Amino acid sequence: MKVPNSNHPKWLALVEGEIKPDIEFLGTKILLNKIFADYKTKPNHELASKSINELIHLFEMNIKIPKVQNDLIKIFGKEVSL
Amino acid sequence: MMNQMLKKDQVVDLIKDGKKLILAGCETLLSQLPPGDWIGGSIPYFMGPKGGESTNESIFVTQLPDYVIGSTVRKYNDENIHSIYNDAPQNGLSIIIIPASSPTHLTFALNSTNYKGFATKPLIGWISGVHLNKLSVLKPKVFYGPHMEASENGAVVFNIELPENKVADIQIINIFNQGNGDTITFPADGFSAKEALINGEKVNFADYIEKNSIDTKLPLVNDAYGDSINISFQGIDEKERIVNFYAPVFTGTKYKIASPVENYTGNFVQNIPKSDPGDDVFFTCNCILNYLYADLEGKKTADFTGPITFGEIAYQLLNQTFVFATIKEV
Repeated sequence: MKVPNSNHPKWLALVEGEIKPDIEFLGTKILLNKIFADYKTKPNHELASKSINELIHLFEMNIKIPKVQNDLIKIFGKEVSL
Repeated sequence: MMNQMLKKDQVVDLIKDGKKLILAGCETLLSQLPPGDWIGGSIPYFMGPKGGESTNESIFVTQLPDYVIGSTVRKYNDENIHSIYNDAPQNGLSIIIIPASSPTHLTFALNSTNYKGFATKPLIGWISGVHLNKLSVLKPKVFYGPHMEASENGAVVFNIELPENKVADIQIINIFNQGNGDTITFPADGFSAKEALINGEKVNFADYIEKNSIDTKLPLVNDAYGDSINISFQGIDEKERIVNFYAPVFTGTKYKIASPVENYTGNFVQNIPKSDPGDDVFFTCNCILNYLYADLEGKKTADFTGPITFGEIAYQLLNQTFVFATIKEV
């Protein structure tokens, strides 16, 4: 399973709160919660970019965990499992 | 057995055998242990095998399993705690203990979500405390086993490295959910608040709580993608009209007062997630406020055992929450 790169539009949709998938992994829930609160307070391109990189790092670090793999599929669809 | 209540002499034997241990017990017992591969925190409250209990006679012992391929014990203070995620192993688990109300506790609580690598590696742990009758005479402590040092400020951490075929997974059980009341936000981060925005309108928060007869045994709850994150009320400073909390509130975060809970243990058991066969429950802790408010003395919280603490850590500081870590085969 491959974590999509930072250009994928779903990352920004996550940071902006446009999509709210039913996340399973606690680490992702907690990081997203913090990112979303920060971004809502001060929305800007730099923060969005930093937040996306943090999320990618989290997914890459935990990719072996089945819940994390499920979350990736919920966010990006089956394309990530190819 | 990975988690058990033991007498001091039994713990001494384990330390002398070179076992790697995470310990919870009263300061008097922990201070009599020899140096070794262990960390500890002061607390006399436990989820024991027969239910919730307070004792100064036993130590709760979590022993690292044999399949751990590496481990290090570290200590931090309020100036270097920011590197905790950076220092954690690539594939493993870090267990942290911090003394309640210490500068390191406050620093971690306020800033951990901004630490480099936040939430990317599993971090679980607890805030040490003392018997509630001794709050005015004893200070919570942590113990750094390798040098047998006790500290009222700082954090002790056991970093555990796992083999390729195992991963750690941290979960929480929080029986509180957001109620249907007002949406509450705060103009500043902190362990206290004078003002709050109630549905967008600025008010004195102490006035709001009193006028609305809010039960402060119920926490403020933020919905984090389906998991509730609690902020517990410590009390109201009547003179200054300030509301104090056991964990910080954050700007940009929407809170609601929790719905009342009638049957704590029943709700708790219902909320236990199904584990996969082969999962090891490695470590658990529960909050002293749950012990008090839900009257957990003598009551079992399923088969979970562990310390009852002055705060719980699952990546960040939590309140009124049960946290646990499992180690899974992948």
